[in-house]
Amino acid sequence: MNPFALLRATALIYSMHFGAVFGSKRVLAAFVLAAMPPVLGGLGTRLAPETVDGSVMDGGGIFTAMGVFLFLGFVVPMLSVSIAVGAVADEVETRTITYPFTRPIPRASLFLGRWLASLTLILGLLWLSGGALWWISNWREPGPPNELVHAVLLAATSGAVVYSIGSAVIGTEFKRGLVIALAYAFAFELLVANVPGSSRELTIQYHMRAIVADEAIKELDAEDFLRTKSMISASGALMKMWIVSGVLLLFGCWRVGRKQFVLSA
Amino acid sequence: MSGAAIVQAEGLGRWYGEVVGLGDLSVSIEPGITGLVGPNGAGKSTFMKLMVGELRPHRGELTVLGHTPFASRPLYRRLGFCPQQDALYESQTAVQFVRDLLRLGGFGRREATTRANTALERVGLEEAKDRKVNGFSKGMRQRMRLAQAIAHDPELVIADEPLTGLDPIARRQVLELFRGLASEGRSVILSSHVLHEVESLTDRMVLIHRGRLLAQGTVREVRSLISKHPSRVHVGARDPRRLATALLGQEHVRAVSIGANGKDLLVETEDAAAFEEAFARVASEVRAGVQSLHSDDATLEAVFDYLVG
Repeated sequence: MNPFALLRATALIYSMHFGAVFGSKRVLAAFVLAAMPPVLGGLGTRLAPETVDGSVMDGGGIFTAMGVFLFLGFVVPMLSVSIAVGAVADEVETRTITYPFTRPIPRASLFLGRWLASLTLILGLLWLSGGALWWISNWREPGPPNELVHAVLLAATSGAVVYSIGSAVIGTEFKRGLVIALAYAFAFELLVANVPGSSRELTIQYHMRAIVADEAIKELDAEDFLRTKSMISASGALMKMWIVSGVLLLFGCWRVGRKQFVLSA
Repeated sequence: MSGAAIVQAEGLGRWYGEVVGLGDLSVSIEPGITGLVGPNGAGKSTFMKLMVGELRPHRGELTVLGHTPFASRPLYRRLGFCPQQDALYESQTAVQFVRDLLRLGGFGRREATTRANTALERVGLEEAKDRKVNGFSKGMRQRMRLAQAIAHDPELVIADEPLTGLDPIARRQVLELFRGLASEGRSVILSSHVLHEVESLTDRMVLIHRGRLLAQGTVREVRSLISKHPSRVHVGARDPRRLATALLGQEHVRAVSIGANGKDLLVETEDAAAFEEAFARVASEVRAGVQSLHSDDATLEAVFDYLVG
Protein backbone atom coordinates (compact mmCIF):
# COMPACT_ATOMS: atom_id res chain seq x y z
CA MET A 1 0.00 0.00 0.00
CA ASN A 2 1.27 3.42 -0.95
CA PRO A 3 1.54 5.35 2.35
CA PHE A 4 1.23 8.70 0.56
CA ALA A 5 -2.06 7.62 -1.06
CA LEU A 6 -3.30 6.42 2.34
CA LEU A 7 -2.38 9.70 4.03
CA ARG A 8 -3.92 11.82 1.28
CA ALA A 9 -7.15 9.84 1.25
CA THR A 10 -7.30 9.84 5.06
CA ALA A 11 -6.92 13.63 5.10
CA LEU A 12 -9.66 14.00 2.49
CA ILE A 13 -12.04 11.66 4.30
CA TYR A 14 -11.26 13.49 7.55
CA SER A 15 -12.04 16.88 6.04
CA MET A 16 -15.21 15.54 4.38
CA HIS A 17 -16.57 14.13 7.61
CA PHE A 18 -15.27 16.56 10.18
CA GLY A 19 -18.18 18.93 9.66
CA ALA A 20 -20.67 16.07 9.48
CA VAL A 21 -19.47 14.68 12.82
CA PHE A 22 -19.90 18.08 14.47
CA GLY A 23 -23.28 18.57 12.86
CA SER A 24 -24.70 15.20 13.90
CA LYS A 25 -27.56 14.82 16.35
CA ARG A 26 -25.34 13.00 18.82
CA VAL A 27 -23.24 16.09 19.43
CA LEU A 28 -25.87 17.79 21.55
CA ALA A 29 -26.08 14.74 23.82
CA ALA A 30 -22.29 14.62 23.84
CA PHE A 31 -22.11 18.24 25.01
CA VAL A 32 -24.55 17.50 27.82
CA LEU A 33 -22.45 14.50 28.82
CA ALA A 34 -19.23 16.52 28.73
CA ALA A 35 -20.85 19.23 30.86
CA MET A 36 -21.65 16.79 33.68
CA PRO A 37 -18.27 16.77 35.52
CA PRO A 38 -17.85 20.58 35.65
CA VAL A 39 -21.51 21.13 36.53
CA LEU A 40 -21.46 18.55 39.31
CA GLY A 41 -18.02 19.78 40.37
CA GLY A 42 -19.45 23.30 40.59
CA LEU A 43 -22.33 22.05 42.68
CA GLY A 44 -19.80 20.23 44.84
CA THR A 45 -17.85 23.41 45.54
CA ARG A 46 -21.06 25.16 46.63
CA LEU A 47 -23.19 22.51 48.26
CA ALA A 48 -20.94 19.79 49.66
CA PRO A 49 -18.63 21.40 52.20
CA GLU A 50 -17.52 18.28 53.98
CA THR A 51 -16.58 14.71 53.24
CA VAL A 52 -18.08 11.76 55.09
CA ASP A 53 -15.41 11.83 57.79
CA GLY A 54 -16.07 15.49 58.49
CA SER A 55 -12.96 17.00 56.89
CA VAL A 56 -13.42 19.91 54.49
CA MET A 57 -13.16 18.83 50.84
CA ASP A 58 -10.80 21.14 48.97
CA GLY A 59 -10.59 21.82 45.27
CA GLY A 60 -8.14 18.95 44.79
CA GLY A 61 -10.56 16.54 46.41
CA ILE A 62 -13.45 17.71 44.29
CA PHE A 63 -11.37 17.45 41.13
CA THR A 64 -10.25 13.95 42.08
CA ALA A 65 -13.75 12.74 42.91
CA MET A 66 -15.28 14.14 39.75
CA GLY A 67 -12.23 13.59 37.56
CA VAL A 68 -11.46 10.01 38.48
CA PHE A 69 -14.87 8.56 39.16
CA LEU A 70 -17.28 10.53 36.98
CA PHE A 71 -15.00 11.85 34.23
CA LEU A 72 -12.75 8.82 33.68
CA GLY A 73 -15.22 6.23 34.90
CA PHE A 74 -18.27 7.37 32.94
CA VAL A 75 -17.85 10.37 30.65
CA VAL A 76 -14.73 9.15 28.82
CA PRO A 77 -16.11 5.72 27.87
CA MET A 78 -19.62 7.00 27.19
CA LEU A 79 -18.49 9.84 24.93
CA SER A 80 -15.92 7.72 23.14
CA VAL A 81 -18.24 4.81 22.52
CA SER A 82 -21.29 6.79 21.47
CA ILE A 83 -19.43 8.95 18.97
CA ALA A 84 -16.82 6.55 17.58
CA VAL A 85 -19.01 3.50 17.17
CA GLY A 86 -20.56 5.17 14.11
CA ALA A 87 -17.25 6.01 12.45
CA VAL A 88 -17.77 3.46 9.70
CA ALA A 89 -21.15 2.12 10.79
CA ASP A 90 -22.86 5.43 10.00
CA GLU A 91 -21.69 5.19 6.39
CA VAL A 92 -23.16 1.71 6.22
CA GLU A 93 -26.39 2.75 7.89
CA THR A 94 -26.87 5.72 5.56
CA ARG A 95 -25.70 3.53 2.66
CA THR A 96 -23.24 6.17 1.48
CA ILE A 97 -20.28 3.83 1.87
CA THR A 98 -20.72 2.95 -1.81
CA TYR A 99 -19.21 6.30 -2.77
CA PRO A 100 -15.82 6.07 -1.04
CA PHE A 101 -15.71 2.36 -1.79
CA THR A 102 -15.93 2.98 -5.54
CA ARG A 103 -13.13 5.54 -5.52
CA PRO A 104 -9.46 4.77 -6.14
CA ILE A 105 -8.43 5.15 -2.51
CA PRO A 106 -7.15 2.63 0.02
CA ARG A 107 -10.30 1.53 1.85
CA ALA A 108 -8.44 1.71 5.14
CA SER A 109 -8.48 5.49 4.75
CA LEU A 110 -12.22 5.45 5.35
CA PHE A 111 -11.67 3.90 8.77
CA LEU A 112 -8.74 6.14 9.61
CA GLY A 113 -10.24 9.38 8.36
CA ARG A 114 -13.62 8.91 9.96
CA TRP A 115 -12.16 7.64 13.22
CA LEU A 116 -9.85 10.65 13.39
CA ALA A 117 -12.79 13.00 12.77
CA SER A 118 -14.65 11.29 15.62
CA LEU A 119 -11.59 11.41 17.86
CA THR A 120 -11.21 15.14 17.25
CA LEU A 121 -14.69 15.73 18.57
CA ILE A 122 -14.24 13.33 21.49
CA LEU A 123 -10.95 14.82 22.61
CA GLY A 124 -12.18 18.36 22.08
CA LEU A 125 -15.13 17.73 24.36
CA LEU A 126 -13.09 15.81 26.92
CA TRP A 127 -10.44 18.50 27.17
CA LEU A 128 -13.11 21.17 27.44
CA SER A 129 -14.83 19.14 30.13
CA GLY A 130 -11.61 18.41 32.02
CA GLY A 131 -10.44 22.03 31.69
CA ALA A 132 -13.76 23.35 32.96
CA LEU A 133 -13.65 20.92 35.88
CA TRP A 134 -10.13 22.07 36.75
CA TRP A 135 -11.22 25.73 36.59
CA ILE A 136 -14.29 25.12 38.75
CA SER A 137 -12.32 23.04 41.25
CA ASN A 138 -10.07 26.05 41.77
CA TRP A 139 -13.06 27.92 43.20
CA ARG A 140 -12.16 26.20 46.45
CA GLU A 141 -8.64 26.48 47.81
CA PRO A 142 -6.36 24.69 47.49
CA GLY A 143 -7.11 23.69 43.93
CA PRO A 144 -5.98 20.46 42.29
CA PRO A 145 -2.23 20.09 41.77
CA ASN A 146 -1.02 20.33 38.19
CA GLU A 147 0.36 16.77 38.29
CA LEU A 148 -3.08 15.40 39.05
CA VAL A 149 -4.75 17.49 36.32
CA HIS A 150 -2.15 16.33 33.82
CA ALA A 151 -2.56 12.71 34.86
CA VAL A 152 -6.33 12.84 34.55
CA LEU A 153 -6.18 14.48 31.12
CA LEU A 154 -3.52 12.01 29.97
CA ALA A 155 -5.61 9.08 31.18
CA ALA A 156 -8.71 10.53 29.54
CA THR A 157 -6.87 11.05 26.25
CA SER A 158 -5.36 7.57 26.24
CA GLY A 159 -8.62 5.98 27.33
CA ALA A 160 -10.57 7.86 24.67
CA VAL A 161 -8.17 6.68 22.00
CA VAL A 162 -8.54 3.02 22.98
CA TYR A 163 -12.29 3.18 23.58
CA SER A 164 -12.88 5.01 20.33
CA ILE A 165 -10.83 2.69 18.14
CA GLY A 166 -12.38 -0.34 19.81
CA SER A 167 -15.86 1.11 19.32
CA ALA A 168 -15.18 1.97 15.69
CA VAL A 169 -14.06 -1.62 15.10
CA ILE A 170 -17.12 -3.00 16.88
CA GLY A 171 -19.34 -0.69 14.82
CA THR A 172 -17.70 -1.96 11.67
CA GLU A 173 -18.11 -5.60 12.60
CA PHE A 174 -21.56 -5.77 14.17
CA LYS A 175 -24.97 -4.46 13.23
CA ARG A 176 -25.84 -3.42 16.78
CA GLY A 177 -22.39 -2.10 17.51
CA LEU A 178 -23.52 0.59 19.95
CA VAL A 179 -25.21 -1.95 22.21
CA ILE A 180 -22.19 -4.25 22.15
CA ALA A 181 -19.71 -1.44 22.77
CA LEU A 182 -21.76 -0.04 25.64
CA ALA A 183 -22.14 -3.53 27.09
CA TYR A 184 -18.38 -3.91 27.00
CA ALA A 185 -17.70 -0.48 28.50
CA PHE A 186 -20.31 -0.54 31.24
CA ALA A 187 -21.09 -4.16 31.97
CA PHE A 188 -17.90 -6.09 31.31
CA GLU A 189 -15.50 -3.36 32.41
CA LEU A 190 -17.52 -2.37 35.46
CA LEU A 191 -17.52 -5.93 36.64
CA VAL A 192 -14.02 -7.01 35.74
CA ALA A 193 -12.20 -3.76 36.59
CA ASN A 194 -13.45 -3.98 40.16
CA VAL A 195 -12.70 -7.63 40.74
CA PRO A 196 -9.30 -8.27 42.32
CA GLY A 197 -6.88 -10.28 40.22
CA SER A 198 -5.12 -10.13 36.90
CA SER A 199 -8.36 -10.19 34.91
CA ARG A 200 -8.63 -6.45 35.60
CA GLU A 201 -5.81 -5.96 33.15
CA LEU A 202 -8.28 -6.78 30.40
CA THR A 203 -10.04 -3.48 31.01
CA ILE A 204 -9.29 0.03 29.84
CA GLN A 205 -10.55 1.41 33.16
CA TYR A 206 -7.79 -0.39 35.05
CA HIS A 207 -5.13 1.22 32.91
CA MET A 208 -6.70 4.68 33.16
CA ARG A 209 -6.81 4.35 36.94
CA ALA A 210 -3.18 3.22 36.95
CA ILE A 211 -2.19 6.46 35.20
CA VAL A 212 -3.91 8.64 37.80
CA ALA A 213 -3.57 6.43 40.88
CA ASP A 214 -0.41 7.88 42.43
CA GLU A 215 -1.60 11.48 42.13
CA ALA A 216 -5.21 10.73 43.01
CA ILE A 217 -4.38 8.95 46.25
CA LYS A 218 -2.56 12.03 47.49
CA GLU A 219 -5.79 13.99 47.15
CA LEU A 220 -8.45 11.49 48.05
CA ASP A 221 -8.37 8.39 50.18
CA ALA A 222 -9.52 6.03 47.47
CA GLU A 223 -6.82 3.40 47.61
CA ASP A 224 -9.29 0.60 48.24
CA PHE A 225 -11.23 1.54 45.18
CA LEU A 226 -8.23 2.10 42.99
CA ARG A 227 -6.52 -1.04 44.34
CA THR A 228 -3.15 0.40 43.64
CA LYS A 229 -1.18 -2.29 45.42
CA SER A 230 -1.32 -4.59 42.41
CA MET A 231 -1.41 -1.91 39.77
CA ILE A 232 1.13 -1.50 37.03
CA SER A 233 3.02 1.77 36.75
CA ALA A 234 1.55 4.76 34.96
CA SER A 235 4.12 4.50 32.20
CA GLY A 236 3.48 0.76 31.86
CA ALA A 237 -0.25 1.38 31.60
CA LEU A 238 0.27 4.09 29.04
CA MET A 239 2.53 1.86 26.97
CA LYS A 240 0.00 -0.98 26.97
CA MET A 241 -2.83 1.33 25.96
CA TRP A 242 -0.90 2.71 23.01
CA ILE A 243 0.12 -0.78 21.90
CA VAL A 244 -3.49 -1.97 22.08
CA SER A 245 -4.56 1.15 20.19
CA GLY A 246 -2.06 0.42 17.44
CA VAL A 247 -3.16 -3.19 17.13
CA LEU A 248 -6.85 -2.22 17.06
CA LEU A 249 -6.15 0.47 14.49
CA LEU A 250 -4.36 -1.97 12.20
CA PHE A 251 -7.13 -4.51 12.66
CA GLY A 252 -9.82 -1.92 11.88
CA CYS A 253 -8.01 -0.80 8.73
CA TRP A 254 -7.55 -4.39 7.61
CA ARG A 255 -11.17 -5.31 8.25
CA VAL A 256 -12.58 -2.31 6.40
CA GLY A 257 -10.29 -3.11 3.49
CA ARG A 258 -11.59 -6.67 3.28
CA LYS A 259 -15.16 -6.39 4.47
CA GLN A 260 -18.19 -6.47 2.22
CA PHE A 261 -21.08 -4.32 3.28
CA VAL A 262 -24.46 -5.55 2.07
CA LEU A 263 -26.63 -2.48 1.56
CA SER A 264 -30.34 -2.55 0.90
CA ALA A 265 -31.83 -0.43 -1.88
CA MET B 1 -16.39 -14.80 -25.83
CA SER B 2 -14.94 -11.66 -27.30
CA GLY B 3 -11.62 -10.25 -26.21
CA ALA B 4 -13.13 -6.77 -26.35
CA ALA B 5 -15.65 -7.54 -23.64
CA ILE B 6 -15.83 -4.92 -20.92
CA VAL B 7 -17.45 -7.35 -18.50
CA GLN B 8 -16.72 -11.04 -18.44
CA ALA B 9 -18.47 -13.32 -15.94
CA GLU B 10 -18.04 -17.08 -15.71
CA GLY B 11 -20.17 -19.18 -13.39
CA LEU B 12 -20.73 -16.21 -11.12
CA GLY B 13 -22.53 -16.96 -7.88
CA ARG B 14 -23.35 -14.83 -4.88
CA TRP B 15 -25.79 -15.51 -2.10
CA TYR B 16 -26.97 -13.87 1.10
CA GLY B 17 -27.28 -16.56 3.70
CA GLU B 18 -29.67 -19.03 2.13
CA VAL B 19 -31.01 -16.54 -0.39
CA VAL B 20 -29.48 -16.81 -3.83
CA GLY B 21 -28.63 -13.42 -5.30
CA LEU B 22 -26.92 -14.81 -8.37
CA GLY B 23 -26.94 -18.51 -9.17
CA ASP B 24 -24.60 -19.35 -12.02
CA LEU B 25 -24.22 -16.38 -14.28
CA SER B 26 -21.99 -16.51 -17.33
CA VAL B 27 -22.14 -13.46 -19.52
CA SER B 28 -19.94 -11.30 -21.69
CA ILE B 29 -20.82 -7.65 -22.24
CA GLU B 30 -19.40 -5.69 -25.15
CA PRO B 31 -18.69 -1.93 -25.20
CA GLY B 32 -21.66 0.37 -25.84
CA ILE B 33 -24.96 0.69 -24.04
CA THR B 34 -26.29 -2.51 -22.53
CA GLY B 35 -29.52 -2.92 -20.65
CA LEU B 36 -29.56 -5.32 -17.73
CA VAL B 37 -33.14 -6.39 -17.46
CA GLY B 38 -35.06 -8.57 -15.09
CA PRO B 39 -37.90 -8.46 -12.61
CA ASN B 40 -37.36 -7.28 -9.05
CA GLY B 41 -35.23 -9.83 -7.22
CA ALA B 42 -33.75 -11.24 -10.42
CA GLY B 43 -30.19 -10.49 -9.33
CA LYS B 44 -29.51 -7.31 -11.31
CA SER B 45 -28.38 -5.27 -8.33
CA THR B 46 -26.27 -8.13 -7.01
CA PHE B 47 -24.57 -8.41 -10.38
CA MET B 48 -23.96 -4.66 -10.39
CA LYS B 49 -22.55 -4.72 -6.86
CA LEU B 50 -20.20 -7.48 -7.94
CA MET B 51 -19.20 -5.50 -11.03
CA VAL B 52 -18.31 -2.43 -8.97
CA GLY B 53 -16.54 -4.45 -6.30
CA GLU B 54 -18.91 -3.68 -3.49
CA LEU B 55 -19.31 -7.41 -3.02
CA ARG B 56 -17.13 -10.41 -3.81
CA PRO B 57 -18.53 -13.43 -5.64
CA HIS B 58 -18.84 -16.66 -3.68
CA ARG B 59 -18.06 -18.60 -6.81
CA GLY B 60 -17.01 -17.98 -10.38
CA GLU B 61 -14.84 -15.38 -12.06
CA LEU B 62 -15.59 -11.78 -12.92
CA THR B 63 -13.52 -9.16 -14.68
CA VAL B 64 -14.55 -5.60 -15.47
CA LEU B 65 -12.34 -3.67 -17.91
CA GLY B 66 -9.82 -6.43 -17.31
CA HIS B 67 -9.74 -6.02 -13.52
CA THR B 68 -11.06 -8.17 -10.71
CA PRO B 69 -13.43 -5.59 -9.24
CA PHE B 70 -13.29 -5.94 -5.44
CA ALA B 71 -11.38 -2.96 -4.02
CA SER B 72 -9.59 -2.47 -7.33
CA ARG B 73 -8.21 1.04 -7.37
CA PRO B 74 -7.12 0.89 -11.05
CA LEU B 75 -10.69 -0.08 -11.99
CA TYR B 76 -12.25 2.74 -9.98
CA ARG B 77 -10.29 5.31 -12.00
CA ARG B 78 -12.10 4.01 -15.10
CA LEU B 79 -15.51 3.24 -13.65
CA GLY B 80 -18.44 5.34 -12.51
CA PHE B 81 -21.22 3.81 -10.44
CA CYS B 82 -24.67 5.21 -9.88
CA PRO B 83 -26.16 3.18 -7.02
CA GLN B 84 -29.83 2.41 -6.62
CA GLN B 85 -30.03 3.37 -2.96
CA ASP B 86 -31.19 6.91 -2.30
CA ALA B 87 -28.17 7.91 -0.25
CA LEU B 88 -26.18 11.14 -0.35
CA TYR B 89 -24.11 13.09 2.17
CA GLU B 90 -27.07 15.10 3.39
CA SER B 91 -25.24 18.03 4.93
CA GLN B 92 -23.40 18.87 1.72
CA THR B 93 -24.37 21.02 -1.21
CA ALA B 94 -24.61 19.43 -4.64
CA VAL B 95 -21.31 20.81 -5.80
CA GLN B 96 -19.54 19.86 -2.55
CA PHE B 97 -20.81 16.31 -2.86
CA VAL B 98 -19.53 15.78 -6.39
CA ARG B 99 -16.34 17.77 -5.80
CA ASP B 100 -15.35 15.83 -2.68
CA LEU B 101 -15.87 12.51 -4.42
CA LEU B 102 -13.79 13.76 -7.35
CA ARG B 103 -11.05 14.71 -4.93
CA LEU B 104 -11.14 11.17 -3.58
CA GLY B 105 -10.65 10.16 -7.21
CA GLY B 106 -7.35 12.01 -7.24
CA PHE B 107 -8.31 15.38 -8.71
CA GLY B 108 -7.01 18.63 -7.27
CA ARG B 109 -9.46 21.04 -5.68
CA ARG B 110 -9.71 23.42 -8.63
CA GLU B 111 -10.14 20.75 -11.27
CA ALA B 112 -12.57 18.86 -9.06
CA THR B 113 -14.72 21.98 -8.71
CA THR B 114 -14.69 22.56 -12.47
CA ARG B 115 -15.60 18.96 -13.19
CA ALA B 116 -18.31 18.96 -10.53
CA ASN B 117 -19.92 22.01 -12.11
CA THR B 118 -19.76 20.40 -15.56
CA ALA B 119 -21.27 17.14 -14.31
CA LEU B 120 -24.09 18.96 -12.53
CA GLU B 121 -24.78 20.89 -15.70
CA ARG B 122 -24.96 17.66 -17.70
CA VAL B 123 -27.60 16.25 -15.39
CA GLY B 124 -29.53 19.52 -15.32
CA LEU B 125 -28.72 20.55 -11.76
CA GLU B 126 -26.59 23.60 -12.46
CA GLU B 127 -29.11 25.93 -10.83
CA ALA B 128 -29.30 23.82 -7.69
CA LYS B 129 -25.58 23.25 -7.31
CA ASP B 130 -25.21 25.42 -4.21
CA ARG B 131 -28.25 23.99 -2.45
CA LYS B 132 -27.97 21.32 0.23
CA VAL B 133 -28.90 17.92 -1.12
CA ASN B 134 -31.20 17.15 1.81
CA GLY B 135 -33.72 19.55 0.26
CA PHE B 136 -33.68 17.86 -3.13
CA SER B 137 -36.60 16.03 -4.70
CA LYS B 138 -36.32 12.33 -5.47
CA GLY B 139 -35.57 13.04 -9.11
CA MET B 140 -32.88 15.58 -8.24
CA ARG B 141 -31.28 13.14 -5.86
CA GLN B 142 -31.24 10.53 -8.60
CA ARG B 143 -29.50 12.99 -10.90
CA MET B 144 -27.00 13.77 -8.14
CA ARG B 145 -26.07 10.11 -8.04
CA LEU B 146 -25.60 10.18 -11.79
CA ALA B 147 -23.51 13.34 -11.62
CA GLN B 148 -20.98 11.77 -9.28
CA ALA B 149 -20.84 8.69 -11.52
CA ILE B 150 -19.94 10.63 -14.68
CA ALA B 151 -17.94 13.53 -13.26
CA HIS B 152 -14.54 11.88 -13.71
CA ASP B 153 -15.24 10.88 -17.34
CA PRO B 154 -15.12 7.14 -16.74
CA GLU B 155 -14.85 4.64 -19.58
CA LEU B 156 -17.70 2.66 -18.12
CA VAL B 157 -20.75 3.89 -16.24
CA ILE B 158 -22.76 1.32 -14.32
CA ALA B 159 -26.15 2.62 -13.29
CA ASP B 160 -28.58 0.69 -11.12
CA GLU B 161 -32.17 1.64 -11.96
CA PRO B 162 -31.12 5.16 -13.00
CA LEU B 163 -34.51 6.15 -14.36
CA THR B 164 -36.51 5.30 -11.28
CA GLY B 165 -38.18 8.31 -9.71
CA LEU B 166 -37.55 10.67 -12.60
CA ASP B 167 -40.27 12.78 -14.14
CA PRO B 168 -40.68 12.54 -17.95
CA ILE B 169 -38.51 15.58 -18.65
CA ALA B 170 -35.71 14.42 -16.38
CA ARG B 171 -36.03 10.93 -17.81
CA ARG B 172 -35.55 12.23 -21.34
CA GLN B 173 -32.60 14.28 -20.12
CA VAL B 174 -30.97 11.23 -18.54
CA LEU B 175 -31.58 9.09 -21.60
CA GLU B 176 -29.95 11.81 -23.68
CA LEU B 177 -27.07 11.83 -21.24
CA PHE B 178 -26.52 8.10 -21.72
CA ARG B 179 -26.72 8.48 -25.49
CA GLY B 180 -24.20 11.30 -25.23
CA LEU B 181 -21.83 9.14 -23.19
CA ALA B 182 -22.13 6.37 -25.77
CA SER B 183 -21.44 8.79 -28.60
CA GLU B 184 -18.27 9.83 -26.77
CA GLY B 185 -17.14 6.21 -26.89
CA ARG B 186 -18.02 5.39 -23.30
CA SER B 187 -19.89 2.30 -22.25
CA VAL B 188 -23.00 2.23 -20.13
CA ILE B 189 -24.57 -0.70 -18.34
CA LEU B 190 -27.90 0.19 -16.86
CA SER B 191 -30.44 -1.94 -15.12
CA SER B 192 -34.16 -1.61 -15.14
CA HIS B 193 -37.24 -3.64 -14.50
CA VAL B 194 -39.22 -1.25 -16.70
CA LEU B 195 -38.44 -2.75 -20.03
CA HIS B 196 -39.49 -0.01 -22.40
CA GLU B 197 -37.07 2.34 -20.68
CA VAL B 198 -34.16 0.16 -21.69
CA GLU B 199 -35.62 -0.48 -25.10
CA SER B 200 -35.79 3.23 -25.84
CA LEU B 201 -32.07 3.49 -25.22
CA THR B 202 -30.59 0.31 -26.60
CA ASP B 203 -31.64 -2.93 -28.23
CA ARG B 204 -28.71 -4.76 -26.59
CA MET B 205 -29.77 -6.41 -23.44
CA VAL B 206 -28.93 -9.01 -20.88
CA LEU B 207 -31.93 -10.69 -19.35
CA ILE B 208 -31.49 -12.07 -15.85
CA HIS B 209 -34.04 -14.10 -14.00
CA ARG B 210 -33.64 -15.85 -10.64
CA GLY B 211 -29.93 -15.15 -10.64
CA ARG B 212 -29.26 -16.70 -14.02
CA LEU B 213 -28.78 -15.47 -17.55
CA LEU B 214 -32.03 -15.90 -19.39
CA ALA B 215 -30.99 -14.43 -22.72
CA GLN B 216 -28.59 -11.95 -24.26
CA GLY B 217 -28.46 -10.02 -27.51
CA THR B 218 -30.73 -7.69 -29.43
CA VAL B 219 -34.47 -7.95 -28.93
CA ARG B 220 -34.83 -9.81 -32.22
CA GLU B 221 -31.91 -12.15 -31.48
CA VAL B 222 -33.40 -12.99 -28.16
CA ARG B 223 -36.75 -13.54 -29.78
CA SER B 224 -35.23 -15.96 -32.26
CA LEU B 225 -33.89 -18.05 -29.38
CA ILE B 226 -37.34 -18.89 -28.21
CA SER B 227 -38.91 -20.67 -31.13
CA LYS B 228 -40.88 -22.86 -28.79
CA HIS B 229 -42.86 -19.83 -27.74
CA PRO B 230 -45.54 -18.54 -30.11
CA SER B 231 -45.34 -15.13 -31.72
CA ARG B 232 -48.27 -12.91 -30.98
CA VAL B 233 -49.95 -10.79 -33.63
CA HIS B 234 -52.66 -8.23 -32.93
CA VAL B 235 -55.21 -7.79 -35.72
CA GLY B 236 -57.94 -5.17 -35.84
CA ALA B 237 -60.85 -6.08 -38.14
CA ARG B 238 -64.46 -5.09 -38.84
CA ASP B 239 -65.53 -8.76 -38.75
CA PRO B 240 -63.10 -10.43 -36.41
CA ARG B 241 -65.14 -13.61 -35.95
CA ARG B 242 -65.06 -14.52 -39.62
CA LEU B 243 -61.34 -13.77 -39.75
CA ALA B 244 -60.72 -15.83 -36.62
CA THR B 245 -62.50 -18.85 -38.10
CA ALA B 246 -60.44 -18.62 -41.27
CA LEU B 247 -57.16 -18.18 -39.43
CA LEU B 248 -57.78 -21.15 -37.15
CA GLY B 249 -57.70 -23.34 -40.22
CA GLN B 250 -54.12 -22.35 -40.96
CA GLU B 251 -51.47 -24.91 -40.15
CA HIS B 252 -49.10 -22.67 -38.14
CA VAL B 253 -51.75 -20.82 -36.13
CA ARG B 254 -51.82 -22.12 -32.58
CA ALA B 255 -54.62 -20.03 -31.09
CA VAL B 256 -56.86 -17.10 -31.87
CA SER B 257 -58.75 -15.06 -29.32
CA ILE B 258 -61.11 -12.11 -29.66
CA GLY B 259 -60.45 -9.08 -27.50
CA ALA B 260 -62.89 -7.65 -24.99
CA ASN B 261 -63.95 -4.90 -27.40
CA GLY B 262 -65.10 -7.54 -29.91
CA LYS B 263 -62.97 -6.07 -32.70
CA ASP B 264 -59.40 -7.13 -32.03
CA LEU B 265 -57.90 -10.52 -32.57
CA LEU B 266 -54.87 -11.91 -30.82
CA VAL B 267 -53.28 -14.57 -32.96
CA GLU B 268 -50.57 -16.88 -31.64
CA THR B 269 -48.46 -18.48 -34.33
CA GLU B 270 -45.50 -20.82 -34.27
CA ASP B 271 -44.08 -19.40 -37.49
CA ALA B 272 -44.36 -15.65 -37.80
CA ALA B 273 -42.96 -15.54 -41.34
CA ALA B 274 -45.37 -18.17 -42.67
CA PHE B 275 -48.23 -16.43 -40.89
CA GLU B 276 -47.44 -13.11 -42.51
CA GLU B 277 -47.37 -14.77 -45.92
CA ALA B 278 -50.69 -16.56 -45.39
CA PHE B 279 -52.46 -13.73 -43.63
CA ALA B 280 -52.80 -11.43 -46.65
CA ARG B 281 -54.35 -14.26 -48.69
CA VAL B 282 -56.79 -15.33 -45.95
CA ALA B 283 -57.80 -11.75 -45.15
CA SER B 284 -58.63 -10.97 -48.76
CA GLU B 285 -60.54 -14.25 -49.17
CA VAL B 286 -62.85 -13.72 -46.20
CA ARG B 287 -63.15 -9.92 -46.66
CA ALA B 288 -63.06 -9.31 -42.90
CA GLY B 289 -62.08 -5.65 -43.23
CA VAL B 290 -58.63 -5.72 -41.68
CA GLN B 291 -57.88 -2.34 -40.08
CA SER B 292 -54.62 -2.91 -38.31
CA LEU B 293 -51.94 -5.51 -37.90
CA HIS B 294 -48.96 -5.49 -35.60
CA SER B 295 -46.73 -7.95 -33.87
CA ASP B 296 -45.43 -7.29 -30.39
CA ASP B 297 -42.48 -9.60 -30.89
CA ALA B 298 -40.13 -6.67 -31.33
CA THR B 299 -40.99 -5.09 -28.01
CA LEU B 300 -38.91 -5.95 -25.00
CA GLU B 301 -42.00 -6.42 -22.88
CA ALA B 302 -43.19 -9.24 -25.12
CA VAL B 303 -39.83 -10.93 -25.24
CA PHE B 304 -39.54 -10.72 -21.51
CA ASP B 305 -43.05 -12.02 -20.98
CA TYR B 306 -42.32 -14.98 -23.23
CA LEU B 307 -39.04 -15.79 -21.56
CA VAL B 308 -40.08 -15.66 -17.97
CA GLY B 309 -43.39 -17.29 -18.67
